[in-house]
Amino acid sequence: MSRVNILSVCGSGTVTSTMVAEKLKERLLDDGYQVHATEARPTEALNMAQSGSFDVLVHTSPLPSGDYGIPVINAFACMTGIGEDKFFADVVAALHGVGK
Amino acid sequence: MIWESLTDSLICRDIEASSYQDVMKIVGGKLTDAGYVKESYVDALITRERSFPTGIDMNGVGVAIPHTNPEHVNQPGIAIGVLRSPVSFFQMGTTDVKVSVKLVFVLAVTNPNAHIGTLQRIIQVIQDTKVLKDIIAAADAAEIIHIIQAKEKAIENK
Repeated sequence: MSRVNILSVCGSGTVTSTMVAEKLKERLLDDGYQVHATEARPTEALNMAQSGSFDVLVHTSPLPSGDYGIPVINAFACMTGIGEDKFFADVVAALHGVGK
Repeated sequence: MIWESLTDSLICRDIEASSYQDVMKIVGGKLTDAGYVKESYVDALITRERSFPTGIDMNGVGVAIPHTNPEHVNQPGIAIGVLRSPVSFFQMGTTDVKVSVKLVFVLAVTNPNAHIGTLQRIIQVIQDTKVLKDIIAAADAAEIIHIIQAKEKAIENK
């Protein structure tokens, strides 16, 4: 089991980021990942992403532009369920890409 | 579960609104009237929607889940609004993709980590387009509550 840190960003850093984080925790278990998720607001996302504490960033809100330094993946599919499998596959591929 | 606390007073049908701001005032106002949220809640909903849209095109059915920060909320709850004619929202995650919304679930959320089960349940319910269509077509509030209860039962029996 590989422990990974995911930054989950939505408008208020509460509702949808929590929904997405919970889905990731459940689904990525099957891929051998123990997900530790931190919810954040868009305004704090860039600083947190650059802190070096996170492996990937997922988001349901628009993000301010900037160099996040980690893979950034749109999590909207988690809300609709449409394209959700591709979303999880993208997150896993991104984790592989950062050596996790 | 929040769904079980649904009451007629938190469900509005046949809403005539010309903007998402109107929708927030009407449906969010139900939460204010019932004491679930503070007077600041509706304005906070509108402001937040502008920066962080909550429209979702759920496989052809336009739905929105407006919500805002916990400091405007007294206790968790959900108000449901069915619009007579669709109103434009922007799609979640974008500021330029329009979604024609016929159904809104306005969420009053306090501590999201304490309500993870409820939040997941909301997703499960709104991802079922048949449920959304049935709610839109429902004859009254009691039928809407019944549709949601039946969906919850189906989820729990899985």
